[in-house]
Amino acid sequence: MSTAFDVILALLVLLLALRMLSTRGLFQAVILFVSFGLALALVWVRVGAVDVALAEVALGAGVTGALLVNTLRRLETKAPDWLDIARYGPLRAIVPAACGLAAAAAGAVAIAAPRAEVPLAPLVLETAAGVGIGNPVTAVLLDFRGYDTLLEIAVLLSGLVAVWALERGRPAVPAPSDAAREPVLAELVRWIVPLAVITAVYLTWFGSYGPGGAFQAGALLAGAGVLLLAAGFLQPAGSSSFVLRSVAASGLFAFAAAALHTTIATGGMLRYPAGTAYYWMLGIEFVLVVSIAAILADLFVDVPAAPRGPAA
Amino acid sequence: MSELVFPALGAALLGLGFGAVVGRRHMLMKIIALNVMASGVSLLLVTLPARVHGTTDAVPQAMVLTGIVVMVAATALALALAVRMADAGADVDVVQAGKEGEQP
Repeated sequence: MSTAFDVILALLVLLLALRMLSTRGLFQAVILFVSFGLALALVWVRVGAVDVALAEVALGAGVTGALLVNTLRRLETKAPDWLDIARYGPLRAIVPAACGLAAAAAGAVAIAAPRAEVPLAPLVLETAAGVGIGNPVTAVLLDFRGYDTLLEIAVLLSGLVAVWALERGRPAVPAPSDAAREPVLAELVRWIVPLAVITAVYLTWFGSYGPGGAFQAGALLAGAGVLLLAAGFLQPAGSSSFVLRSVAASGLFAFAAAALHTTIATGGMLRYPAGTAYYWMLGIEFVLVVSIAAILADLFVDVPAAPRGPAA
Repeated sequence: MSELVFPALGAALLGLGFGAVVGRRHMLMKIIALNVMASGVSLLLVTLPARVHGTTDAVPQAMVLTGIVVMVAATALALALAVRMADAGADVDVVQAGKEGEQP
């Protein structure tokens, strides 16, 4: 019975992906992409990876989907392309099909390959319980593989700096004034943003015991920030704003400072002193949440679009 | 056999994504297809260990979480590049842009 459910779920994801990648309309593809992310999150929950499901919804479907919609609007693309088999003949489809089959074959080889002898999973569970962290994924992220997470924050920050460099010189779009603000959106924002802030704080704190954590909470806060920008409650801060730069970099700095301190204090980078791991992780996570939220929200350029006139 | 369902889905998404990266001409579609490939790889990473141990492994989950965040940053950068390309006048349709580049 459960296998049948798995198969149906897998088929749903596959069909969404097929439709999304073969559709003519770009907006349709983006909306299908968000649905695809949500269906994929169901798969994650089915497999037991709830943290990944939260991240998939918040970041994969949410932030990426919103970025795609925003970019679609900025590109103002009208004519979508299409691998038009009717026009170019079936030969044009051979190369993509061959590439697709090659990639799928690579996946099949991965499935058939022999497994490693030393299983990490029970080891991680034991050590996480020993350190006092209820969620082994958070323990891996911030304790055992903390260095990877530090580099991950650096990647996020570098992405933001690169986007800033690309947007340099483009005129900033001002937020709509009080009179031009859309009333429905404004009311929605007044309800959603406080809820988002509370949920983000809870997610960050709960990440040590169960599914949750800094990245999912940061994405939630970023969504609230983008809503504030779109509704006009927040003026977009330019990339030269000192406050914005400080907040965006604060996550990396806090993490690096923790790494430096632990290297000096315990002799191992990010090896927390015995018994204090929980507090270290929580402290780092709370700084990370605000920093990630600022970085992700600032990836959205030109969000408060000028209100269109009746002729448009 | 039932544990093969989701790894097979991962392989299929990998194939679909790569085929679309090669086959679709529009920049935005290529970026979306790259995301689909990343999802396929994430599925393979997380669901394959369950075949052997029967439990969920925390290390691939953390890796996939990191991967999702990195994919968001990479997608944002790719989209900014695409907008910049369009600003500079290049056609977002890759094949057209290639043809324009061939002209002396």
